[in-house]
Amino acid sequence: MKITSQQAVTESRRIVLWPLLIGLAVLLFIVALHMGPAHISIAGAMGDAWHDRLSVDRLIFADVRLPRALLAALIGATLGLSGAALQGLLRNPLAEPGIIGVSNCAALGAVIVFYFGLARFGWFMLPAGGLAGAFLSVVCIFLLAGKQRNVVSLVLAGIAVNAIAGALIALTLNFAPNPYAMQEIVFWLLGSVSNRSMQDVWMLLPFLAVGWAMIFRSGPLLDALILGEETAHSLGFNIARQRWWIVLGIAASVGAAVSVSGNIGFVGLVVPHVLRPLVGYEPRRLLGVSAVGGAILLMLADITVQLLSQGGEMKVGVVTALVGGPFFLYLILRTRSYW
Amino acid sequence: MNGQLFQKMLARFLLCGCLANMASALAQQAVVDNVQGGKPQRIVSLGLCTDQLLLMMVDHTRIAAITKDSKDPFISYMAAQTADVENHNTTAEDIIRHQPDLVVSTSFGSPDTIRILKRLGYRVEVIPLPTKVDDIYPLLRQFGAWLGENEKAEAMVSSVRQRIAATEATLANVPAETAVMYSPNGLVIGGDTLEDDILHRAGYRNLAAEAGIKFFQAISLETLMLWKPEKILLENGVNNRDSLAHAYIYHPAIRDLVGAGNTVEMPPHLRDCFGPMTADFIAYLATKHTPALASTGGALP
Repeated sequence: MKITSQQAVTESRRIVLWPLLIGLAVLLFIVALHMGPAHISIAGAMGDAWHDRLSVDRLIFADVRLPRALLAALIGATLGLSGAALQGLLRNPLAEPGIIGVSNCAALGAVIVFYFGLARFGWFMLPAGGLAGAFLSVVCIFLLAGKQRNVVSLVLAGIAVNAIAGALIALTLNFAPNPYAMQEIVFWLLGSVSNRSMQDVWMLLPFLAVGWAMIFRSGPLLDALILGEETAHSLGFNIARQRWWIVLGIAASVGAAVSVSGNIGFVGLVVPHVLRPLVGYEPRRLLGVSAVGGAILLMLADITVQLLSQGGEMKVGVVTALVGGPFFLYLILRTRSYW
Repeated sequence: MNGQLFQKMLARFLLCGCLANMASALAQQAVVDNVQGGKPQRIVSLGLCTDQLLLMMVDHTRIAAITKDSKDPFISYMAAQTADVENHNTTAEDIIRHQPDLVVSTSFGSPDTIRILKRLGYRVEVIPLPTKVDDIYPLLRQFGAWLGENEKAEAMVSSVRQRIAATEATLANVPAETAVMYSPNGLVIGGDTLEDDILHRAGYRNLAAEAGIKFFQAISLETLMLWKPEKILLENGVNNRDSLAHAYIYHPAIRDLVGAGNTVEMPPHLRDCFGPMTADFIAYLATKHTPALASTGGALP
């Protein structure tokens, strides 16, 4: 009796949840388009674009504001989605691309491609560098901490991978031929979506589409994994193979995202945790809402950055870390019983 | 006990002082020995700008060492004429090796190196950087006086002055175009700078200076777009575009704003230093004006 009433509550929450999240995301996207030092009319700019009239408003809208808002939404969605997928896959509440080192390794791959001129060999080189770095780190984490459902070993492995990747980023930037490289370490370690263009959006989209599709198709496996690997196996899942789909999906989407924005931390940690109770603790259902939630959080963080620093020198990762850091601490304290 | 310790320390301190004085006395002796007819014979330059003036004004046998930068044709106006000159690595240790009788530097030279060399008794002359074109002439004369080359300096001054006047004369009937000098990390060059004066003399209005900016300041891309300059002069500075700082000056919005033909890359070997290259730089910028007939107020309404 109690169970059915709880299910009914969850069901009604779900019905409200989706329109609420989508509505909030659309609202924040519109707000994001209005953020910036120039006072322009967004409606007028869209009108100019529609009638193909040249105007400064249109250029600021299309070349500066739109790519920034789109990137915040797309990258936030990627981080939220992959946080949810990693937590389900590793069955570990602290799994998150930033914490376990995936983002930093992706940044390392992107840094090597970007500062040594390898991006000239094709539009796909930069996100591919991020993908390669992210892939290596997910494999590392799996080997180090994947088999045990142990919070401590995962976090410790993450610390090690993060430290090595961070040091290698610094080393790479030190040897980069461009004199500005070293001061740009802040961007790669904290992340930002400012001063980007539509070229970055187009470069990102194919990688995100493939990565997201691979993660979403593995949703049923995540549901089955709640019952344990053996049960999931007996339910007919080829765990070893499907696991690779998720790993590749995370590597492709997070790798590409980080290669454009740097390492924006904690979005993948906070969002799934906040939304999980609202979708009845079902990993598969958590994926979609975490993607929208991640987009909301990163757009909100980027709007905050623009409000706080006129001129936009502050990195968006500062805001997400200020929100996510205390939350991470709270999770560690709450999961003490696992240790 | 304490008194003894104090005495020992005092003795050591005095000994150090003596040694330093001896070293400086030796160095001063070297200075006197090397100067022939009042002209320094073993000159070291600490930076790109003094390197180039030195290469122009004195016989190369009198140059002891200059920096590696002056051999890079991307940033050095005199790169082709550096084959017979030695390099140093800008540390005091490496410079002392050349036993210079004159060290020249701009006010941008490493303060540590300058302090150490002065303390050791070497003659170090520091030339300030000009903030307008007319500052260049007294600076060239001052530099020439240090080298004992007053006549060469005077000839250089009149040649630079004539060439700049010639360029300005060609622009007499050309309407001034609006321009912004845009550097990596979104810096613009405002008023009270040599660059601002150069822009004016090349027939442009500097919108950054008109917006009240002095020296260098970072502005947002949106602000730059609101200014709607007719020309955007890009400063690359290094022969490498692979940084986020450079992504500012190669952002697609800039080309969309002014049109592909209206972005001008400023050649670093003309822009980085002052002297005869300044006349070349002004002449170069003057050639970039849109022909008067086509100039109907920029790309955008």
